Amino acid sequence: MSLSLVCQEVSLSRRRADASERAILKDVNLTLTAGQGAMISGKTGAGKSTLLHLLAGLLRPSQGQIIANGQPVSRWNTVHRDLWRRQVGIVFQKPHLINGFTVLENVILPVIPRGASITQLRKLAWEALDTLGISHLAKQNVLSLSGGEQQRVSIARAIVSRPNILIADEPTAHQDDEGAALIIEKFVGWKLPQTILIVAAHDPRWALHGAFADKHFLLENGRLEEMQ
Amino acid sequence: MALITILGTALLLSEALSTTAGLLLKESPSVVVRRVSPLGWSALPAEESIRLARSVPGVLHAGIRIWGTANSPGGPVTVFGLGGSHRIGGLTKNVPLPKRGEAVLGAGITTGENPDFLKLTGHNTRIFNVIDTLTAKTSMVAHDMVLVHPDDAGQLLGIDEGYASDLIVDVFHETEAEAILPDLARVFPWPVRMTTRTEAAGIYISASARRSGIVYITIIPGILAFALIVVGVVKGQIGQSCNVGLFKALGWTTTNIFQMQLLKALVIGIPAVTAGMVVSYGLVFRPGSSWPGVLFFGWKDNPPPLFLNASGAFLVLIEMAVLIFLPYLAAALWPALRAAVSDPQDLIDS
Repeated sequence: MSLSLVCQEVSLSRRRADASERAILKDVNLTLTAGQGAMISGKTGAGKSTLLHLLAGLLRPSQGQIIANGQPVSRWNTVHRDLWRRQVGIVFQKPHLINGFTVLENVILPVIPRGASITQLRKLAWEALDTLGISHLAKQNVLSLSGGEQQRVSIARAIVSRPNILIADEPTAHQDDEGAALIIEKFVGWKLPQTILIVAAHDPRWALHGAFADKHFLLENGRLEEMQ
Repeated sequence: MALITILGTALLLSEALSTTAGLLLKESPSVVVRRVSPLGWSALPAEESIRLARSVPGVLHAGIRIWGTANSPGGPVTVFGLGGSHRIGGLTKNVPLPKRGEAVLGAGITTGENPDFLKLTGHNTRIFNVIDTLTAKTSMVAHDMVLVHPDDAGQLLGIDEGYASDLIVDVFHETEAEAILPDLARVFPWPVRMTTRTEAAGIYISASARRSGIVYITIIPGILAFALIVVGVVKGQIGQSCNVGLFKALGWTTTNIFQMQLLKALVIGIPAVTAGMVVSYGLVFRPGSSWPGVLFFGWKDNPPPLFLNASGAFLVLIEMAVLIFLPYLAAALWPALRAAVSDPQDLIDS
């Protein structure tokens, strides 16, 4: 079956400190197929990050289901979801790098469990770093990097395994114009017939590159609407 | 590693005590008969004692021993007459029988300036030609022992010819020893005091048990320190939940995370356990290591080394595994496994 990612009536609630339920996402529907890029916009706190985490298999919905390639992945057990997650590359809003590791060690992390030789793993990591223009930082501890550099390392880590689905949460938030242009250009280049790209951003610089998004969504009050 | 050393030393010492008890039990005769007098004990007539003992049904073998204490240049020593029917157990079967004027020395005997001669002072003073030394493996029984010809032993200890220090009796089965005591006591025309192997071992084992108890008390601080380490490891693992969630988000499976945690625990744990065990083994069993004997056995002069057999070593390893390695591994792995079955984002946000 060809690549597809579907949100079907997905809702997510969280329990507050006073034990009441807070609805973060309500009846979200979304369908993406191979070769498509999606841009999700919305105000801060609208639930964009949460939706991306659901799509990446990092959370399970309270209601509804996530269907990937026709399979209800959100209902799978831990073992199967762990394996499915290998098809997804994710760029978090915060870089979430392992402190004390070098840039190269952080980037290599997703490919370690895949059984390749250390030479192959290092080659993949160097390629990812080259792509983002940060191979000169490879040996540095991530703590010594600027916010923008850490964000690029995070993107390199997301693409190192060449995932079918790439999900990015505000990937240009800490970049200057030059850096943002480079990253947006890369995302446009990664939009291939066999991949799905999803970016959540309210950075207006993405609008300058209309070639990226086939679908635009607006998330407001927990509800997702496709914009024409 | 320091903790492993403390616990390993305590466990090895405890094992050495029980091994020693077993060794002494194995080498001791079934019954020892001594003639008592108002002043203490006195020598008994050798031939007559043997004959009387053999007349008791159930006695398999009877023999005499000539032994006592004398002074050497290194301090008091136990002098034993070895030869003919004079037995002191199987530990001396590989040494030559000393002729008159000759001596075989236990491993802890110091001779003074000239290692070929030993001067002993008892009822009189004699100088012996040293012909051999007992192996270190016999030290637990014969460490401070000097083996001489029975006639020399008698002269040195003031025991008349034809007399012995005590009589040793072997029975066919251990349980018969207690049963024949009344018959043995009856056949001798003088008052005697008899000690069975079980009684002798009981005295020794109760002393060993008391000392083992002391050993275990000494490891209580070690156990408490270990408990703190385990709590620290668990807290550390819980603190790393965020990283575990991140690994899962990056495509690691629960198995991958378990393997990583296991590897980390083993990389730290195995060298620590190995080094700690080697150091504790050296502290207890290294040739020349005398502090355990001084501390736990009360041997003050030339204390003998301790020995460990293969089954004893295996037992200590099992005890170490149960006491330290398994709790440490559980502390290292359990929080990781618990975290690994949670949703990755919940862990990252924790």
